[in-house]
Amino acid sequence: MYMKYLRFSFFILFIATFTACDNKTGSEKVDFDREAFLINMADNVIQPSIEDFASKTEGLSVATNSFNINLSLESLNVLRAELKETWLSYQHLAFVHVGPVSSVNLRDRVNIFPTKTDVIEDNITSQNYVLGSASNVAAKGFPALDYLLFGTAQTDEEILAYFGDPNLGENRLKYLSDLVEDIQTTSNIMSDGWADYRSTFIGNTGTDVGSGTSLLVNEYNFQFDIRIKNAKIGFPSGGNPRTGGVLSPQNVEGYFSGWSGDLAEKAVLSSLAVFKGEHFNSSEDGLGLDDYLNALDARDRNDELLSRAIINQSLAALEEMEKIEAPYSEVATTEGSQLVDVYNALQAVIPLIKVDMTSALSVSITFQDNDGD
Amino acid sequence: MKNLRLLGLALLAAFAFTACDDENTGGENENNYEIPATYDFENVSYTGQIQRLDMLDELTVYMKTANEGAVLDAQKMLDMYANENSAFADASLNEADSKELENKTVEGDISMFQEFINDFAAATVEANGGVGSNGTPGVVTSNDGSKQYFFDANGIEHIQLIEKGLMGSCFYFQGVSIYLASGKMDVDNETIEEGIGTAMEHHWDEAFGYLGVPTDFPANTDGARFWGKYANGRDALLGSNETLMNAFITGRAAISNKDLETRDEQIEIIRNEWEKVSAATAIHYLNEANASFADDAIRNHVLSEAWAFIHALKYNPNKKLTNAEVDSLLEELGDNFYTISTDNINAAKATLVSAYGFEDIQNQL
Repeated sequence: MYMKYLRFSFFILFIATFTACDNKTGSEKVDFDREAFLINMADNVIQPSIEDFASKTEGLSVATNSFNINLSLESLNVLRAELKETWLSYQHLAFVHVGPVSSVNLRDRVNIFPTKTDVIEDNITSQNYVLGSASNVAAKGFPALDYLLFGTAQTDEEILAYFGDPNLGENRLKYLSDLVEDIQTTSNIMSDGWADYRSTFIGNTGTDVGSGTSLLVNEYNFQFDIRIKNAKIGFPSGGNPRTGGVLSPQNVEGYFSGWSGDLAEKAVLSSLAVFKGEHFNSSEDGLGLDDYLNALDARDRNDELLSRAIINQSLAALEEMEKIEAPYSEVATTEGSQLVDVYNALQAVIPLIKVDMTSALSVSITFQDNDGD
Repeated sequence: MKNLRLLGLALLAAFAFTACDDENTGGENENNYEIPATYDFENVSYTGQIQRLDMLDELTVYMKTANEGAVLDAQKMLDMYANENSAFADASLNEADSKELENKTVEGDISMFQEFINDFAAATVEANGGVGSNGTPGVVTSNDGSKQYFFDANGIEHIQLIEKGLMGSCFYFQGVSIYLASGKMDVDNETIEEGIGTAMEHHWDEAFGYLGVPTDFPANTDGARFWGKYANGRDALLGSNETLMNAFITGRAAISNKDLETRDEQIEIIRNEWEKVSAATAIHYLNEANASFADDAIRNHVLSEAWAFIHALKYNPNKKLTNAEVDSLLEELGDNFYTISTDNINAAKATLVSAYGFEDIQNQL
C-alpha cells in the first residue's frame, strides 16, 4: 500500500511541478528553432566535413600514386603525412555519422583497430580478397595503412625494401593502392549522397527515433562513449572496468605510427566543435546542441548549465590528454597510467551527454554498448 | 488512505514549490521517497543471474564427484561452462541458450578457466580414483578422516579454483565492474518495461542478482549462496550483510526516484563492501591453512579457496591492490600447496591485512 501511495504522490508531484515550471520544461513550448539548428548542422558542419574528408582523401590518393611510381623516402613521408591528414579529418566526420556517412558505415569501413596484420599479409600473399567482405573489416582502412607504412619493418629503409621486394613488392603496392581506393570510393559515395539526404535531414524536425536531432545525439554519444572513451583509451589502458584492469597497449589507435595521442585529441576537439555547432570552415559559433540545451535551460545534477558542464568536462579530459607526450601504446604498459586519468575524465562526460542531455532533449539512446542481461 | 493522500498533497505542494526554486540544488530531496525494508520493488527481473548461479551450482556438483574418486569428462565441464550440447540436468538451463558463464567471464580469464577444466579432468584420469600425495594426483583424506578432496599432483584443488574463481571472474566482475559501471548505469531511466523496469533499474537488479541472496536478506539467510553465503560467513566481524543489502535497496529506490547522486553513493558502498568480503574470506582461509598446516587435505583445500578469493580482488573498479600486486600475492602462495611454507602464508596474509585495514580482526577472521 505504501508503494501505491508513493506512486500516487509522485504522479501528483509530476503534475504539480510540470504546471508550476511550464516556462522551463516541456520541450514543445521552448523557444528554439530546431529546423535552423539542423540547417546549421547540415550546411556548416556536416557538409564541409564531408568535403574536407574528400579533399584529404584526394591528397592520399595522389600520394599513393606517386609512391607507386617512385619508391623513395620522400614519397613515403609525403604519403604518411597525407594519411595523417585524412585520419585526422575522419575524427570530425565520425561525429556526424548520419545519412550517407552512416549508410557507408564510415567508422567500421575505415577505422577498425587493432588491425589484423596476419590477415593483411595473407591477403597480400594470396591476392585473393574482397575488401568489402566481413572477414577483411580489420584488414583495411587507416589502421591497415598505419601497419603498411610504419609497421612492416623497423627502419624506413627496410619499409621501402618491403615495398620494393622482388617477389611480393608488387602485391604489397597493389594492396596499398586497393586500401586507398576503398577509402576514396567511400568518400565519393558520401559526397555524392549528401545533397539528396540533406532535405530529409532538415525536414525531420521532431525528436523521435530517426529525426535529425535524434540521429545527431545518438551518433555523438556513440562516438564519444564507444569509439573514443572505450576504444581509444579505456580498453588499451585497462581503465574501462570491463577489461578487468588487463592492459592491451597493442590495441591503441595508430599503434605503428604512434599517432594515438594526436588522433584522440582531435577526436575530443571535434566533439566540442560539433556540440557547439561550430562552422567547420570558420569556427564561427552556429546553432548547436549547446544552444538547444540552453534554450531548455537544461541543468546538470549540480544545477549548473548542462551545456557548460559538458564543455568544461570535455576540456578537462583534453587537458589530461595534453599532459601525455608519449604514444599511448607506451603509456598503456603500466597499470593506473595517465591514460586511466584520461579515461576517468572522459567517463565524467558520459552521464552528462548520455543521461542528462538525452533526457532534456527527449531523445532515446538507440544503441547498446554490449549484449544485455 | 484518504488522510495519507491529503498529507501527500500538502507535502507535494511544498515540493513542487521547491522544485521551481532556482536555488534548489540536487541531493536536497534525498528523503522524499520511501526505502523499503526488503528488495521489494515493482518490475524486478534477474532470472538470467539466477540461471547462471544455477549453472555454477550444477557444475560444482559434478566436479565434486571427483572427491569420491570419479574420473571427470573435460568436454562435459567445458559444455557446462559455455552452456552447449545440453550439458545440464536442469533442462531449463539448457534451453536458456543465451545465458552462459563463459561469455560473462572477464575476457582475459576465459582461457585460464578452460585450462583449469582440462587440467582437472586430466588429473582425474591419471589418478583413476587413487589416493593423492605430493607428486601424485588423487583423493586425500583429512587427518580426522571427516573430509576428502581431490588434488592434482601439486595439491591444487581445481574445484575451488573453478567454482570460487568464477564467483570472482564472473559474478563479482559482472556485479561491480559491469552492471554498476557506466555502460549499464548511464542508460535510460524513463521508459518502464512491464515486469522489467527501466533499463537502469533492470541493470541494477541484475547486479543484485549476482549477490546470490533472497530479497529479504539478511533477516532471512536461507537460500543465500555463493557471495551471499560468504558475506554471511564473515558477517559477525564485518557486518557486510546489512551494508550490502541496504545499499542495493537504497540504490534501487534512488533510481526509481531519479536520485542518481544517492545511487552513485550506493555503488561506492557496494563495490567497497563486496571487495572486503572477498579479501576477508581470503584471510579467513589463510588463517585456517595455518591452523591446519599439518593436514594435507585441509591445508590444500583452504589454500585453493584463498587463491580464488585473492584472484577475485582484481575485478573491482575501486580495487585496493593493482592486478600486478594481486599476481605477486598469488605467486607468494606458489604452485605447490604440499610444499608451501608458513612464511608464504603469513606474507600473503600480511599484505591483505594492511591493504584492507583488517589489523584489528586479522586473527579472528
